[in-house]
Amino acid sequence: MSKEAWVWTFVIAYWIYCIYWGIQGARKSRTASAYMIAGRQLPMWLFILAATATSFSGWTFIGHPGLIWRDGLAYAFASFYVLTIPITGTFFAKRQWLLGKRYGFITPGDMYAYYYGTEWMRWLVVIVAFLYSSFYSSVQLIASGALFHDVAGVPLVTGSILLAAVVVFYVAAGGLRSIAWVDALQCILLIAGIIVLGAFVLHSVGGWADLAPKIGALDRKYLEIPGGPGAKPGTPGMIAFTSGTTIWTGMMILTYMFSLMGIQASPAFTMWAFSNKNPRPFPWQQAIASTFFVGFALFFFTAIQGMGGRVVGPEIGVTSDRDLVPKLMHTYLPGVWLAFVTIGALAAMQSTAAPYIGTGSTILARDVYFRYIRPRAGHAEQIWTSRVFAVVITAVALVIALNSRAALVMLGGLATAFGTLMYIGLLGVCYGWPIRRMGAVLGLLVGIVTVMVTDTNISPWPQTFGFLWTIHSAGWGLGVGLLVALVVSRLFPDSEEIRERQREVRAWLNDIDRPSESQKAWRKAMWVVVPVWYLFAIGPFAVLGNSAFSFLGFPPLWAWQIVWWLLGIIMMWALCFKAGLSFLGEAQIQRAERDTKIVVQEVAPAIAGGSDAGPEGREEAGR
Amino acid sequence: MKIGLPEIWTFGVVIFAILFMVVYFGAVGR
Repeated sequence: MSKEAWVWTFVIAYWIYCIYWGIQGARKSRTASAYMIAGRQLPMWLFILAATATSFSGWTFIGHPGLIWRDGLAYAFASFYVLTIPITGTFFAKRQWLLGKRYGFITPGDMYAYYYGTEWMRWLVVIVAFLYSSFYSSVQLIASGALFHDVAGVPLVTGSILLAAVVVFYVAAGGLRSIAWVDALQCILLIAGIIVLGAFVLHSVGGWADLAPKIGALDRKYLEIPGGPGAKPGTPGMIAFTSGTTIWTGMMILTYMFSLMGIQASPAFTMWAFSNKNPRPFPWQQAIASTFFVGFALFFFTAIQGMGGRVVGPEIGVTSDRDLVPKLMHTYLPGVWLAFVTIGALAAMQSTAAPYIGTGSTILARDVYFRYIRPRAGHAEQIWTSRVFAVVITAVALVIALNSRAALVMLGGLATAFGTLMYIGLLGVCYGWPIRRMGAVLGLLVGIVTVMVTDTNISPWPQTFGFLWTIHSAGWGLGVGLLVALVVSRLFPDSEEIRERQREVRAWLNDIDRPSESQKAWRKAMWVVVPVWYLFAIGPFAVLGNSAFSFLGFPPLWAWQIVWWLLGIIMMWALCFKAGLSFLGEAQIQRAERDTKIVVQEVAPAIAGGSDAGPEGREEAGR
Repeated sequence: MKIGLPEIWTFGVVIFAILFMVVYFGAVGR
């Protein structure tokens, strides 16, 4: 069979799987919450795979190795996002689940608006969610169209629309349950695809014995973080007082990670948290599935693609970071494996696009349509409205994408930085930081403006403020936004009614999630361990890795990354399980089942058929 | 310290990664 025939065979089998789960999801989703948050019934293993697939997009598959090829091992530090993306979940997922369970929140807007006592928070979340669901997702859909064009020869526009149509079908038909089932398969394909491509590249260039010395002989700029001990004076290392340019200093690596930490703080992940039957999968998703399994693929095999590509690039004609992976695929993969890796790449892209489109459309349906336009909309009307929104936002985004790709990449990139800003709201809701109504709203607004001004890709003054002092816009946005939130909160206290509501939330949360003595001791230790890990693994002290140690032929900086990744897995275990940040005991889970105090109605009481049927009761029917 | 599933998995995968490196890059890859 030809390569194209293999690709089509795999793609069609994959589409059948997607469509099957779209139909299955539609049959089971009879209530708004069953459709929107899988009736809070997602099983453990499904969440572990689905949340992992959502976290790592087509960027991981195509863009990330490309940038390692372009910028070398200094950029490869970005692979630490296998830890920094889920660590946000470690801090916030369990407590968001608890709040969703107790108060019946369906959207993140429900949670923020209730806690802070202002609809402004709902609207700000809608804006952030919309950015994610349209532009960030659309970047993925277009990237999948481009790949499809490259391997199967389908024209870009046709391919993009065809691929997007399948995604929209299962998202719109089945809601979050279908998304989870498809994401589960996509997670395995994504990880396996990266490993297969890396292994073929390594094998084809003569194995590690041949490749390692060639990598070691590359120009120093590909093997070191600029600056560091012994560097020429004036070479950037920890920080550079520049603007308008991206230099991978220690500070840039650290604050770029802040931007990626926004992924699991995003509105979509709040809904993933709400959708779980219980919080048992959280620590496993964070410490094992993300940090270990995806890390394993990235620190070994993505790095081989990038650094190996640097060695063989001139022979196979790699001219830009974008065509590294397609060129490697065409050059080194036989037909059946080319098809397999293609599906892996498509899976990486679509597994990110689908949940953002799905949650974005349900957020619009609940927080705008149901809340402001048709408060009496029943279950079916809410579900159908979500479906229409899913189709409309994807269609609009595709039109923009196909007409102005530059704008799309720019806005898509902003989405994760905006996600980071949700930390401001989450720190108040989950941990009782002294952030009040006015502080939360202004902090978020100022954060959004700060991101836009300091982001090189969108700033009106990129040469003056773009990534100022090699601090990523997410770092500036979070820093300035949080400062404004805290200061304004001191100046404008809340009304007694809101304070009473927050006291009730705090009292319950702190009681049900009270750490044990052993967890307290671990947490105390982690206050030292985590900052030390950040400073050495991805922060300013990572420059020491330029010449610290090496083993098995790995250049020193690569060896440094592998060692800190392994230490990172142990740190995540300590945080998630031992310190109990994302772990909840059996007794507490049982208690959370009973302690409900529903404040968000799925439908108006008259439509639900009387006030005796609470939302949890209605979800039973939807299973 | 009690050794449960989290410990078995965490330290298991770390040991696996080290062994994999030694075998794949140290022996087979050569």
